[in-house]
Amino acid sequence: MIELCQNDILSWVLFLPLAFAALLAVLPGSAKTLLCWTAFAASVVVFAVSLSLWCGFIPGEAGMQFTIHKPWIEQWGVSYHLGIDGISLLLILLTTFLTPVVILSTWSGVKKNIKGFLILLLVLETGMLGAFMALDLVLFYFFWEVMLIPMYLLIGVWGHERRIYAAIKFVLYTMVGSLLMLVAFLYLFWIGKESLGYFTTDLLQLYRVAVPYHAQFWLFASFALAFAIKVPMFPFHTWLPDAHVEAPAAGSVILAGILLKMGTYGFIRFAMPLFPAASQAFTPVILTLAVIGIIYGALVAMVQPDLKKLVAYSSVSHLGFVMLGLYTLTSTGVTGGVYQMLNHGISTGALFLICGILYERRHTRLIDQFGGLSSRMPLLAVFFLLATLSSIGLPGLNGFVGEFLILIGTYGSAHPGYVFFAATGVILSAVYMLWMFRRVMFGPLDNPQNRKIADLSFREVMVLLPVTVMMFWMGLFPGMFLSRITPSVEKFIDQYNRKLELVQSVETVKSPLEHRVVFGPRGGSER
Amino acid sequence: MTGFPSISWNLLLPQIVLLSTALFLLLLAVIYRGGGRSRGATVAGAVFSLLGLGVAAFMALAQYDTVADTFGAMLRLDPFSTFFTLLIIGGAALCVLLSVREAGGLKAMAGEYYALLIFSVLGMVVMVTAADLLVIFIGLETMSLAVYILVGIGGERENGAEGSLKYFLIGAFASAFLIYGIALLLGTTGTTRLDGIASGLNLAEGGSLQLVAVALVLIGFLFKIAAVPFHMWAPDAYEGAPTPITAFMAVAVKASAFAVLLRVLNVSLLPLADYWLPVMWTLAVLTMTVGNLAAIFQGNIKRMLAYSSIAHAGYLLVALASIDPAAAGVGNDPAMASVLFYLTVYTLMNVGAFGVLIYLGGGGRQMETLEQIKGTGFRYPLLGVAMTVFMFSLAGIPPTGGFLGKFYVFSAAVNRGLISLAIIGVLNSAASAYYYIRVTVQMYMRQSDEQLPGLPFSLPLAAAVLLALYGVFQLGIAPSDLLTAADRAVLFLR
Amino acid sequence: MLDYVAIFLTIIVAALMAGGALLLSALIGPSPAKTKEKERPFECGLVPIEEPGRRFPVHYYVVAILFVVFDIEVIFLYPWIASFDEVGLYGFIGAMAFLLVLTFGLIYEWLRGGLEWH
Repeated sequence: MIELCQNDILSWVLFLPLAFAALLAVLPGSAKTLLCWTAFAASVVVFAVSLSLWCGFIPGEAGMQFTIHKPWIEQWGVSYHLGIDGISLLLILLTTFLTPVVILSTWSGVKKNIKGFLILLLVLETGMLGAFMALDLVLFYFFWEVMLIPMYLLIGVWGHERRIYAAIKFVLYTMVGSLLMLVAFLYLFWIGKESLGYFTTDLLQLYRVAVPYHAQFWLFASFALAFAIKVPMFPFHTWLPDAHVEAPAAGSVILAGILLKMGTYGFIRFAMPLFPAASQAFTPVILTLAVIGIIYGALVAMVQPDLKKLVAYSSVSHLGFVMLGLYTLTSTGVTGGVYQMLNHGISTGALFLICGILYERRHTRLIDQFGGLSSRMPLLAVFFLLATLSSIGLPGLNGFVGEFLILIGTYGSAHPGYVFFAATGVILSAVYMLWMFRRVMFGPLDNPQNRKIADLSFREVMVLLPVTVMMFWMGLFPGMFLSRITPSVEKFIDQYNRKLELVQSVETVKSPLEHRVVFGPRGGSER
Repeated sequence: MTGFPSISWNLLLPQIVLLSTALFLLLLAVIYRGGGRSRGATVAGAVFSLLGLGVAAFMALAQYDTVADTFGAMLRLDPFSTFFTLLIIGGAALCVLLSVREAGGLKAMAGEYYALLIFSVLGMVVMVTAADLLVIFIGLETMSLAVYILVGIGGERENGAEGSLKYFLIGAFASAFLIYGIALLLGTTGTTRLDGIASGLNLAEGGSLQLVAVALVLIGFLFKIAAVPFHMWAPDAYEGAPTPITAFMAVAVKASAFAVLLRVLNVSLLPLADYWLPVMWTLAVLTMTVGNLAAIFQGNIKRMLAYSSIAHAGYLLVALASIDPAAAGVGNDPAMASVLFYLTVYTLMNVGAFGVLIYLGGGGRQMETLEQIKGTGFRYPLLGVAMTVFMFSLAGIPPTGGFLGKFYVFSAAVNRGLISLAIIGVLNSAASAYYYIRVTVQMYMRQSDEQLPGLPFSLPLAAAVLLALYGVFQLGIAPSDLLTAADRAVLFLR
Repeated sequence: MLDYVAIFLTIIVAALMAGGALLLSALIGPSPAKTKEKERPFECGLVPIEEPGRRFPVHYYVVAILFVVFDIEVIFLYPWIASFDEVGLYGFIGAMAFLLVLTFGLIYEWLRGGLEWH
């Protein structure tokens, strides 16, 4: 029995949340306590099962582990192909770790239809896990889009005043990007068929296809657009502040903690290894956008009067760091980028949880409505300070490791100049985060509404404690995480460079803008 | 003294069953003792319609593997025609389920309503089995005349008559195009047989007159599928018709017209592919874009779904524009199979969406505009979930069949190198997401102004919606069986 | 294309003759003075006694359609009778099936009240 489970462990992790969501669906909607406990227990069970991935994972091995490969739609060569390497392992654990935290945090915040809310959270978990596990492009797209529906409903139904606008904007931005990526998928399958001789949608097989450069250019562009919207990279980030501000606290945590990682994960898993030559050509563009994102995000965050918007823009800045790390294409830099994805999930997740806790008490997100809260909420002040420092990147906490690796990696890469801008971003992040913390927590307690504010309840401590423990753990013992990431990252870089040489040896790389596609109707005889 | 000509009557059993059912229903309307408009007559009509459709479907299923010509090779039975026969009968059966509640309050008697429905199904089945343009025309007219009346049959609706008249006039116009085209083809190629036309086409001799003939025939069919610029009738007819009939028109009429279009293009007009492929390309772009843009501005959901059905015809035209003439006889063409798959999915999701609308209207309140469905999502949770699924499926978002349908169609286009067409298609898809999602916005994210009444339970409606829901998920998650059937069906098209 | 020239010629000649006759009468005919009497509706030389444009009862159309249906039935039956000996039993069965379908329609119309004038 255990042997059987071992083989299909990924399927178990993937579909357990969905099964629990179905269980919740048949429970009565009025039994709020029952629903909350069931959902919480369910997510803890999923986390426990996913921990077996951590235990069973062989750290030194770079390739895919726990793979499941079954035919799904045989006519199209689409298979149910799951597998994880060091990169996706940690992102999966991040997902299963944050979900119970988020569910616990919603118990008092969500006032209406909590049943629907919890079901959607669990469905969303399945979608996110599937996207991290999928090794088949159609399967990946399947889960990628499945995530969209629950997130849209979470924002639109349980969000704040302008929630409908934010929800529709979120969906349309994502849809445009991902549908163009779908066409790119189809084109890639076609090229794969010409080159391999059979039609396949399997990622590992498509890795072997040397895509001609002129095709790579357009394919990479559409992949990159879809992922850049999700990251979000400057200038495709405008949906993010709206979505974050209007989403309920739990939605914001999931959105910042995990959904944004889909974009960066997409780059490292799909866009870069599939089309290295085009990726290479785009490197200056992406690096520039990344540092613009870092500095722009930081500057805009600084002047935000709205707490959630500030954290949202800080996400833009942090994700710029991740992109910078990925595009250093050095082992250190990419590892740092992956590590920073996890850090951002933990620390920004914590910040949004705290925003939610404050909003629940005061029903406002405006920073100047607060002030001097530390005397009333000493417990929160501790957690808040730790989250802030982690986000800034104080040594000893997790944020430092990621940023440090990225900066080192950038310095050692082909583009060391960008270190200057990135380092500026680090300083700016200290400025806006600490300033924000001071305005909220310190200073005179002059707003009378803040006098009666209550400190954290036991449940809220339990929400923030695991996240804070993770901050220390990842900051003090990064080795146990890095040892799992690094082999996969090195394999990624090795693969990337080998494929780059392959394509370059076949044809000389032209400037990207010299290529064009044929537009307009074509007669039947043309082929 | 001639003997019996050899007609394999057994091959015509589905048609015979349908004809008998329709005639019987017609009599039922007038001899039913409780009165033709009574509840009993409504239920009896539905039961007998379903029975007839079921028997006809069973007959069609029994000859699933048959490939044969009959009636002097005027009719052709192959997996392609059987596929569409089953699809049409299935769609019609779902529409009968949707009708049970509505059929009571019509101008006509319930029996007449069902009889007309079955007559039009008969016409469609004749259309998809026809191997001759004239037989296609007869089937098309049988179908159309019945549907014209059905559009205007609604009870208190004032715009039913308007929609019906518009549909009738434009439909008659289209029929004139078609018959004129058939006449010219007969004159220039010497035959109206589909396979004969292919060999009779000779541009060097027949010249431009043959092109005119082909254009006229195609225009006749394009009217029926509501391709832009031949779509003007659709919104009014859809809005004015009783909702089950709107669903019926959107799924069955469209499916049968596409079946004929596929057959005519592939069997008769393949030599002219260089001419009609670019036309289909242009029509696809126009139809998708106009349909989607117009749908965005609709406040009435039926009208919105009418424009959405135009847009979906556009996606299907993408598949027609991607047909590979070179693939003839060397295996299946994904472009053609994708039409079959898409139409099946489309039938399910559209019937489902209209079914939810009808169900919502059961509480004595009209539920047709975006304004009226406010707040219904949480009030009626199961209907809300179902409608959300159908809307996401129409928008082409997994895990629904709508996604795989679009995936198939666009992958066929990319396979033929029509990347720009695929890009226009997906951008349209993204635009369409806006108005489909708006339905869920209204249902879940806005509050109703007044107390929403409880809805009476209706078994047939619930059955139709649940079947559609099951189908949409089934085709979105495990589509292999249907894909095999579609691949097999199109093999016999040439 | 040459086969169609005759058709085109016929069309042109027909158009010329019709148009020519009108044109000719307008040119050489006497142009009457436009008096009030000339403008009035004309009915057998008398001044109309009631307003024109009364609608026919809808039953009129029902009966007319019924007439057309049976008219066409006769047209179909005529060749059957003319070739009765050749088509034999098969023709007989075919014609009966045709009549049966029509009879269904007749019964329906009768029971539905289509044959009653009120």
